[in-house]
Amino acid sequence: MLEISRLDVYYGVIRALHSVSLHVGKGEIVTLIGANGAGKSTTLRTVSGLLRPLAGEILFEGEDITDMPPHRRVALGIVQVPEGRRVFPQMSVGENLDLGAYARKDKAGIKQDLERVFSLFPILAERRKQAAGTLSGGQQQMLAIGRALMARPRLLLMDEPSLGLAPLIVKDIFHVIAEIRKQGVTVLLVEQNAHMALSIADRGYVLETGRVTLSGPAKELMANEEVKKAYLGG
Amino acid sequence: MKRLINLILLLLTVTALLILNAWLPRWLNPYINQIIIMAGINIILAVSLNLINGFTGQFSIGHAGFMAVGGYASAAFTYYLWKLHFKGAHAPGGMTGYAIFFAALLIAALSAAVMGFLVGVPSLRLRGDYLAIVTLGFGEIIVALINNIEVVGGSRGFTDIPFYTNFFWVYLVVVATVLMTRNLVQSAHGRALIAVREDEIAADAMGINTTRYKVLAFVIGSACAGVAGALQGHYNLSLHPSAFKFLKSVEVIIMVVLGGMGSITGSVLTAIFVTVLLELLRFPVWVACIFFALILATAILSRPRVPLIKEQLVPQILVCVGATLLLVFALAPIVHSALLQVAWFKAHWAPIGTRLIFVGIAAAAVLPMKRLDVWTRFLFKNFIYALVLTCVLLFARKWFNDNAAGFRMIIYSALLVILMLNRPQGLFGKAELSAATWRRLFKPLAR
Repeated sequence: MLEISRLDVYYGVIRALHSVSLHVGKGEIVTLIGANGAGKSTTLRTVSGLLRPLAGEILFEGEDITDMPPHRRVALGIVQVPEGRRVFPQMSVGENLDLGAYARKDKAGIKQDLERVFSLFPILAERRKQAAGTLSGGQQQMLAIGRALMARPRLLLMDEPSLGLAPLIVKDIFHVIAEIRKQGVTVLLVEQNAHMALSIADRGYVLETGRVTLSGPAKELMANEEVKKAYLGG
Repeated sequence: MKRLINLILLLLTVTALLILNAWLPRWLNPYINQIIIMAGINIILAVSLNLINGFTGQFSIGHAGFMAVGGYASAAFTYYLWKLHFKGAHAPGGMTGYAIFFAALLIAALSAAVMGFLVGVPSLRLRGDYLAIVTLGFGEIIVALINNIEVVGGSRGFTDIPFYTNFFWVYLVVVATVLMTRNLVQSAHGRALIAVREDEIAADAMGINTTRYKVLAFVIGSACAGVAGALQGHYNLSLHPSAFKFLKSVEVIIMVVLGGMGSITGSVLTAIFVTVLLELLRFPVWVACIFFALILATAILSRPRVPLIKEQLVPQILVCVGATLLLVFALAPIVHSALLQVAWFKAHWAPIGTRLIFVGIAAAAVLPMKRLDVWTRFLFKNFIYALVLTCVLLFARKWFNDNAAGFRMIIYSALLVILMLNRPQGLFGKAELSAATWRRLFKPLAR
């Protein structure tokens, strides 16, 4: 579904990605794990179009999208849940969700998706009129995911969904991610919490200082001594 | 059905404007009529800038530049059409005049919009301060260019522009601007604009073409500013490049910030407020009255959050009493002299009036002391300003009366400082005065 080959991304003169290649198959959950500054978020932001690569190419279902602006990628079905949630704080929960469906015109489908989001996150239905900025961190993360789902994504890019959340809520969120995949959405997941990420993912890539150093099925990575030592705490 | 109602409303509005247009000059003197026109032009400027600065969250400080573009383009059109085509001692009037002016307004909107597009496309990738610098530069470039274009008068100014602007035209544009902005903001596009303000990265990630929306807001805002420039040019019958410098932009920004970034109602009301205030401040008697009214208004607006602290009770009461007395001393004679202008009062009350008013104001000032915490906290907060202004009023009243004109901007600025300190989010914040607001306001009364 998504094919990235030899991607080079720079922040000014600093090289963030060194020839990163990876692929995501339809219906998979693929996770990128690695330390701070390894280039996980950079990869994700390049796929969603918020950053432009200097070299390399990104193919989505065979189509070259390397130079496509972000709003056209959303129309294709590549939707990002940005790091740190980034809900629109002064808008209500309902308005935030409406904005997720901004690029769509099919009213019946939007209504259907709204019900789907509310069945995944009942708390959002309860807080529909409330300003998004007054939600708790976990609820804001749910809103950010719900908002992305409103765009009816085919590939969902999730950037650190567990950031700053209590362990119990992290568990909930990951449960929902697995649920979303069951509904037929492909997920590319960036996560610092490697254990959680690998437990729901099919495959994983390990990034170190902008290079892919290891890849394979999630179970194998979990059993890998190096990965255990570096990211799984022993 | 809805379309029919809209059409009827439109016709009613136009008729009402035409009737007022015919009658206002007979009811009110020319000075007040001029203030009404100026207020209308300022409403157009403030609402359109609010679309850019308030709703879309971009910081443009070049609004006067777009105003100049529209003003000069339309004036050149009407002037040369008159001189080269119609000739004659007077510019064509009647229906021809209306048609010409309508075309001129369109030209103003179009030229300013094109300019907004040209400036916006490259610069709206920038954010915050960077965009402000670009728009500032643009405004200065426009002024410098006009200074050097001889066909529109150059640095001497463009004079002999035909007289077309009247109440009807100004308030027709006001209604159009307010309605357009309101409808835009409430539409799906408007929500996208607000999303850009709230969080640009998230808006990008949601598939909103952020650059396009920023340019859209910028172009619409500039077009309205251009029309405002045209209205001003055809009212003053002259345009001068120095009138469109940076300060003019700041004047509009003040209205927008004071009214609340993101509130159309706020922009409309503060545009009127600022226009009228600046005129009232030309009269010494009004200066004092406005000052007192504002102090009371801000006292009501600033709610008590800090309870009275026991250890500081004495200094607090001292400050409170001192400032109150200062106010009373300063205000009593001024209110007295204002009342003396009423003939009836002069005939019956003048001998004992001063003392009575003195007592009255003292009572009015001490009354709030029942809620000592509110009053004290407020006076603490504004003590310096109150002190400076009352000192000016008290010790230099005679001199002040003679030189009030020179103090106009100082007092205006001091008022801005006080208002901003008490309501940093602007008078309205992001709220609007809609039917729902009124219902909410009167709900407790109904119960």
